[in-house]
Amino acid sequence: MKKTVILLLTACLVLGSTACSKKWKDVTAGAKVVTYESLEEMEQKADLIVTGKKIEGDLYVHKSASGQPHAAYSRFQIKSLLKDATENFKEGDEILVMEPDIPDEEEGVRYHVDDYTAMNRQDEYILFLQYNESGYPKACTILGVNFGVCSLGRDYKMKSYGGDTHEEIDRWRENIREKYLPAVG
Amino acid sequence: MTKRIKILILTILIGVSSMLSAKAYVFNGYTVPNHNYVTYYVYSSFSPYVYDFNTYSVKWNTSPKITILPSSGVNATISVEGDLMSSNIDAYGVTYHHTNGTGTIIFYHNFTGLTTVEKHETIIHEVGHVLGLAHCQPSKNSISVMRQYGFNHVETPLSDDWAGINALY
Repeated sequence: MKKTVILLLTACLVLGSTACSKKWKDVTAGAKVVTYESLEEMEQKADLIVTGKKIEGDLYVHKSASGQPHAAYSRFQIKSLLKDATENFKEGDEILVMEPDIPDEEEGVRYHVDDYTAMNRQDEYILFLQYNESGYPKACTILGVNFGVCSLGRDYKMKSYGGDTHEEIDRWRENIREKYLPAVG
Repeated sequence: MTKRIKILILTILIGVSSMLSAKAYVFNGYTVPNHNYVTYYVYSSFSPYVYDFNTYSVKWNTSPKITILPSSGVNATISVEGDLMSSNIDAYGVTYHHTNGTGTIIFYHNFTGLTTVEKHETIIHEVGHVLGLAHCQPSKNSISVMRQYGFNHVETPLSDDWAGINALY
């Protein structure tokens, strides 16, 4: 009997801690995003095309006048600099990237704009970026939200938090991988 | 299995399949607290487009199930803001839902570069999200302003949007 009680209490503790460790509820923020006719068009629009890894996320979360969090920045280290129209960067530099996967502590949610999921720190990514030199902080915007970011690891396909399907983006990313994976290794 | 039973099963499957494919609207899981009294407040950050929002957000009022009107104060169902100077997100507009059924729409810098008709369609699209519509199925883009990508260049909700609102409320 004593052993049974101990086992039950242990199970409750484990289950309880598992439930509590998930701090956020993941929700979609419906969006009308900018699109590009082709990969070539996006490449031409990009100020920067880089590969590298994310170092740190959820920095400088901006809120609007009404208190809505709507911008969160991540530090990203450049491994390969494939295009730099600004002539400001070199391999090894760190850049700030706005990732539209935004925490809202008051609501207890993470808003995923058009189902965007923040980069992890394990995979290498290729990013197609617009550089906002006049912004504060000076940071980069990912073109087309989901179109301009692609994991070079195994997990490159889109997740869905609100019912949208994303075959178009998955195919788009497959094209990116087909073109760039052989080049960057 | 007899031939008659096979034909019956096939007929039922075809009927169910056609019913499913006819529905293009998709719900996002949200509804407004009172669909007959949906208020909005436009912050000064979106002031250049107050007239556009006043005129085109209320296109949803064509449905007898929806009444959208301006609020005198900030405690509104829909908060409308602009982030028009910076380029934080490569999007035209984003809708953020809150747990109390209200929503915040933020229009971004790229919105300013749209044509007038595209701006109006984007306004109607984002209000559609607040009302509870997600993006439509891609095969039905031509009959919905809730299409995920691109524009129909219209200034009013379309047939599938009305069907979605009527089904939701």
